[in-house]
Order: sequence, then structure tokens, then C-alpha cells
Amino acid sequence: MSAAIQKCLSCGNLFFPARLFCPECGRENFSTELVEHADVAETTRLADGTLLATLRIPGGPSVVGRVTGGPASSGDRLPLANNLSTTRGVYAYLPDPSQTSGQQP
Amino acid sequence: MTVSIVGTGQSPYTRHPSAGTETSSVIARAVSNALNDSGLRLSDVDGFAVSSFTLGPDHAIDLAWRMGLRLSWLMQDTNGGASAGGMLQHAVRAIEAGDANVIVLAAGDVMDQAAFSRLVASYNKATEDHLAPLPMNGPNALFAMLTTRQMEKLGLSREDYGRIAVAQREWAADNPGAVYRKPLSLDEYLDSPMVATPLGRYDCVPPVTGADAVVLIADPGNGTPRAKVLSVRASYNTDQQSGDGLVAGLRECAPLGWEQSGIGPEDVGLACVYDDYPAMVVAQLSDLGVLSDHDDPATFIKARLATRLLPVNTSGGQLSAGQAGAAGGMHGLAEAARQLMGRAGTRQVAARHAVVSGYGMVLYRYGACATMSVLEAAR
Ligand SMILES: [Zn+2]
Repeated sequence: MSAAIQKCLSCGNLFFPARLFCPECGRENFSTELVEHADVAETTRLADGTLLATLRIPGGPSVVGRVTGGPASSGDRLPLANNLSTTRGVYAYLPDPSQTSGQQP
Repeated sequence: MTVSIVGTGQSPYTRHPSAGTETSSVIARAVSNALNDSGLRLSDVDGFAVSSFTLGPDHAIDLAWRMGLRLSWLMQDTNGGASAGGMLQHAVRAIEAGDANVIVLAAGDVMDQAAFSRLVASYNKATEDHLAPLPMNGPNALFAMLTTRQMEKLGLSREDYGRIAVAQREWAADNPGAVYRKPLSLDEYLDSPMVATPLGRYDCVPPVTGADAVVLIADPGNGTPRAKVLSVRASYNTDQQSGDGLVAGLRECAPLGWEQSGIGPEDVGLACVYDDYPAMVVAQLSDLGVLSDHDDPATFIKARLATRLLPVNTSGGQLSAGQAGAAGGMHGLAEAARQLMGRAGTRQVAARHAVVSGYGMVLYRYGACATMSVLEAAR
């Protein structure tokens, strides 16, 4: 399980959502980094029970995901996935339409 | 700066617009009311700016045409809660440069449940691609997590945010234009249903249909009450969405905004700050320096804001008056001008200077647009 995160080929910084130019170095050559985990910073539970979280990607940006497969709280390290997977276990769903047609890496 | 607001107008806010209500008619009502307030006529207007999420397929020119305006200056701003400050910034320069003499700024929307759902699902591409599929229906969850960060950083509790909501509701009691005017107790606030933890119902702005407008002219200095624009600053995408959202672009606006106005944050007698959530009231008062780094935020809320020693959002703010889509930012600008012109009825305060902030356009995790305006009561 992993999520696709944009990586600047010039300076190595990670971005999500994807940018057109790198906000750090101004270049425009990017690759896709497959990131496996992120750390839960905060969560919020909606009225319908949905648990959403802000997650910090180590060395990268904070992203917003849905905690799926069980509970999680601040400080937990969760696997990331761009698809709603049938795999058991707790993970954070990070939607990305550009990734959903392919196989889960 | 030599430009003043000489009239304000509102199209009455409502939670339940009658079927067939058109955005253009709602905005036109506010324009007409603002012109009446200023003593000027439609034929005097030669500059017009508008912001709206639901005006489409029409644009500013269509609205100008349907209102019968002949113009030498026209603009449309797409920055939601920051659009009023953005339009004001451009309009002041336009009048100073001689491109127009009488400019009306307007913002408004028809924001029923269907329009709100459409707006938040396709707010921008990042929302469409990365937030709506979570699913996330609107920004409540994002500002819930922002509020949690602020609670940890500043040592604030739900009671502290509740005091902001309760204080604004008390102001709304004296604003016939507010949709919620019934007194709100702290217990009611705390016991309200959770929307997105830690935010309850009274932490979230009620979407309404309505519009606000202001009329700007070169400073007349003829004895009529007016709100003189001392400074306008704007900041866009200051931190690339890489921060915690607790410090907005407003902090970048503040140093020059105060310097150009010739006053400091301690001199304002009224603050109309963007209040989509109570946490943003705290964040913006802090960015402006009105809540200084030496103040304990919880004590400041209790001792200055709840007591009205510092009047904040005297219309009831968006939290009680309602958020009329893109008029969210114009609401505070119009209220500040109304107060400085002495036309605020039973909620009138004695301020000579007011600061107004705008905030808007959540790109992914929080808003990326900020504006700051300082106004002075003059004749
Ligand atoms: Zn780079």
C-alpha cells in the first residue's frame, strides 16, 4: 500500500496536491514518489462517524485523508493508499483520481 | 489615501430564499440600497465591481448591463471571503488614478442547500480530486482540525470559542438584518450537536442568500459622514499551504497596513474580522496584532471581546448574521463603514477607527487569500 506524492527532481521536495512549478526552487521537472506511511497529526469525527485526519508525510507535506478500517489518533503512523482497498487493517485513504486506474503498488 | 465609503446597503439575508430567486436580483437590491444610503443615483456610478459564486453564466458586465450602468471601470473578483478587500484595493487605486469617480462594490449569492452542495463539491480542482471523494462536504472538517491545532497552540477550550459565538449573538440581537438574533447561552453552545469534532453547530457559519454593497467616492470633505479608507493590503498564497493555517496571510498585511494608516492595532475601536469559524476570529485578531503576543488569548476573549470593551463583529458577524456566499468579506466591510458613519442603529459604537479583514479560498487545507483594510470616521 502506498500513495503517489509529487517529488521535485531538482530539489527533492515533496508536494501534495501536485504543483505546476516547484514552490521551493521554481523548476518544473517532477517525478512520483510512492510514500507508504504518514503520521496522524489531528483527527476530526463527523456526525456520520467518518474519521478524517491531517497526516504528516515524513520529510514532506501535510495531507488530508480518511482513516479507514479502524480508529486512529494523533501520533499514530498509518499506511497510505490512493484506493479504498479491501485489505484488512487501519490505513489512511488519500484520494487521487490520477492514480486510481492503475494497480496498487 | 483620499477615497471614502459614503453608503452601504444589504439585500436582506435569508436562510430560505423563495423559489426562483436570482443572484443578479439579490445583488442589485444591495446596490440600490447602498446608493440610496449614499444619496447618489445609478447614473452617477461609473465604476462597478462584483464577487459572486452563483452569478454564472452571467459576469460583471451582464449585471452592469441589466442594472443600466454605463462604466469606465469594471472588475470581477473570484476570491470569496477576501474579495471585498481585493475589490476595495483596486477601486481605491482606480479613483486615485482618475479611472472612475463613483464605484460600487457588491458581493452576494443565492446560497440554498443545492447551491451550497454544488459549490463545496467543485470548489477547486484540489477539492474535486482530493477532498470531495473522501468524502468531505464543505470545509467544516478542515477548520475542525485547524481549531484543534489552535486549541493546543494557544491553550484555548471550547468554552473560549463559545464566548465568541455568544458575544456575536448578543450583537446580532440589535441587527435586524441578522438571521439568528435569539440569545445564545454558553450551555446551548456547548450542548449543541457536533458537526466535526471539536466543532458544534454554533461554530459553523449558516449559509444564507443575500448581498452587501458599498459606494466609494473621492474624499468629498463636505461634512457628510463617511468612512475614509486609510489603507488596504492583500496577501495571496503566502505559505503555499505548507503551514498549520493558524497564521494567515493577514500577518503579512499587518505591518504596512498599520504603517500606511498611521495608527496601530491598539487604536482601533472596532474590528470586523472574517468569522467563518470562531478559531479564525482568534487567528485574525492575532495576525492583526489586536490580540497581541503578550495577551493570554483566553483572557483576551473573556475580558475584552465578551465585555465589548473591544467591539468585534458588531453585526453579529457571519456566525449569527449569516454567510451570503462571496459576500462573507463584504459583510464586515459594510458593517464597519455603517458604524463609522453613525448608521448602525441600536448597536452603534463610538469607534473612530475600524480594522476589517477578509479571508478566503481554501485551496486544500485552509484559506490562501487575506486582506486588511483600515477605515476612519470622517466628515
Ligand atoms: Zn524544487
